[in-house]
Amino acid sequence: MKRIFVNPERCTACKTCELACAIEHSQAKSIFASPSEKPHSMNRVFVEAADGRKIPIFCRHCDDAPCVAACISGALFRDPKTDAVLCDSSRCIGCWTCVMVCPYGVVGRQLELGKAVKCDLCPERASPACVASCPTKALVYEEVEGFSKNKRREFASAVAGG
Amino acid sequence: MRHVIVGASAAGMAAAEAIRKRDPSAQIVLLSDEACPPYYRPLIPYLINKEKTEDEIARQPRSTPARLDLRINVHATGLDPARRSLTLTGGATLAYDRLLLATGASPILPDIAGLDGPGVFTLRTWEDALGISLAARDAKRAVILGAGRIGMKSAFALRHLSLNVTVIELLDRLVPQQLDAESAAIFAGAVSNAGIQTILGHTLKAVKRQDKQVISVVLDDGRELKADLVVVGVGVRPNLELAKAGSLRVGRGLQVDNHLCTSDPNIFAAGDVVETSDILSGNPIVSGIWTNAAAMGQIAGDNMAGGNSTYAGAFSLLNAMELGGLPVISVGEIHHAPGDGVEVFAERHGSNYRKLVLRGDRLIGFILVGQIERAGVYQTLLREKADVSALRRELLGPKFHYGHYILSQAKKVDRYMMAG
Repeated sequence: MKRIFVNPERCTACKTCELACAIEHSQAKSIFASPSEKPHSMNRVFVEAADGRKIPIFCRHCDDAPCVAACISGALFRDPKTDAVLCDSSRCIGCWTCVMVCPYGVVGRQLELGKAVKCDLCPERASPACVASCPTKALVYEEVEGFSKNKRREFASAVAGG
Repeated sequence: MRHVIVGASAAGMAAAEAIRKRDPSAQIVLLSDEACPPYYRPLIPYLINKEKTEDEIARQPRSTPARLDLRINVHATGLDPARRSLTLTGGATLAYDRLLLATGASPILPDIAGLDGPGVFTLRTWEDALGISLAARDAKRAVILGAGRIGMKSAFALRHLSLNVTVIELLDRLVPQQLDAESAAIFAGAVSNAGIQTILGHTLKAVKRQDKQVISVVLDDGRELKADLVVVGVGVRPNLELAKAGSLRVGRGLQVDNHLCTSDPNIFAAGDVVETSDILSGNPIVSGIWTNAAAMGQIAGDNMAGGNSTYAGAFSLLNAMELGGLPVISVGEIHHAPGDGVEVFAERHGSNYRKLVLRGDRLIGFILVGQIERAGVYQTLLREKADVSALRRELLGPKFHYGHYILSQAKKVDRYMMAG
């Protein structure tokens, strides 16, 4: 099971990940054509800054995901193969309960469609678009088991020590 | 180990899933007293105007635990905790090792002359929705009693069918539990744009019929409105019959400890039937909220299967909705007036509204209308009873995000980084 991990120390807030995410989730998948598409394509990763520090915020595909538990229409579900938390748009009614319960604030709203949008870990790609595009390797896509707790803790303390 | 769950909605299903997750070999029997397959209860208003089909509101296999012994149209009428057995309609018995009562709640029908009879509906079940849908075919004028969620959803669905719809609410604003005066005023605009009429500050005195057909309703001030269909949405009360039959401890709801265990160690409870405590104030509450029910079900189920999960309490208000094109999220103590250590920050731009209620260094409630992005971050601050003193400026600004919270606390960073 692979997940995205972040090393905030390396993040320069260039927002390439946001752009790559929006393009990957568009019809045209092109930096030239995608931005003018309707309905417009949205990024599901958000680079945020606070006190001069930067951090990309994205879906953690939580165990016991609050969005899946709270979804009132069965749109949000866990993919049995990848364990990723996915949104089935055909079932989404745009009630925004997921927006209300996501601790990270990373379930967005596609307003033209009235549907929730979230990270799907780019199922058609070997590595999610945000990770593949990150010029500083602040984002990595690793097997959870292989990505040792120590390594993760190292990533964490980089921010905490900030 | 045989687990028996009574009730196939949010709490019952979440519990079944949690049991299956912890114990792949457990036997799980799920009883539903409804004749239809398990479904998403909040979606039943869509059946009224056929915006969704029955299939589209039914629970899909991917959201149903494996090897679930589902028995629909089964009513549990008796409970004998000493023998660990349920009595079902017809007299059959069903033994259990662990039992979950997720029996839910039923609509309240207030004591109003002529209310109980043909042409007057409540909206709680799949059956109810189909009944309203059928009645709406020959109806021109609908009166909705109660401007809560159910009342307003019914109103929009019936308006969608081009009925003339009037909503009557005793309090002075729409959706009074979820909205304050300002947000209710914004919502009133959306309701009026949809062509729905509202009468606030009044209730019904009587429903009049001719040949068993509703012909009009009489308001408490004597006004008479023509109507051929009435929907009542004034709240629910917990279904405690089974709990009482088993002599379990009940108050306003079925009482449980913080593991969601009832006064009998083999019987757990979750959802709208439960009397739990308010996560913020600690006061006892009976919550009729889907999100709370699902969370309780998950914890009760885990504990039934041998886990040790603790329930921190329910939000008395935890609601998201979009009606008339207007998204609204309201959580916590939104009605608190400023003073006594409570501060209220409210900001309105057109139909965007943001209200934050703080007590000391804690956020205790918020309403977001229009721009509801990242509402979950605020909700997390409430749930975690976070000290927001270091975050005040960011919190009160329009662009508050998880980065502010995570970077303000080392421990939070750690959890975010370690997740996955």
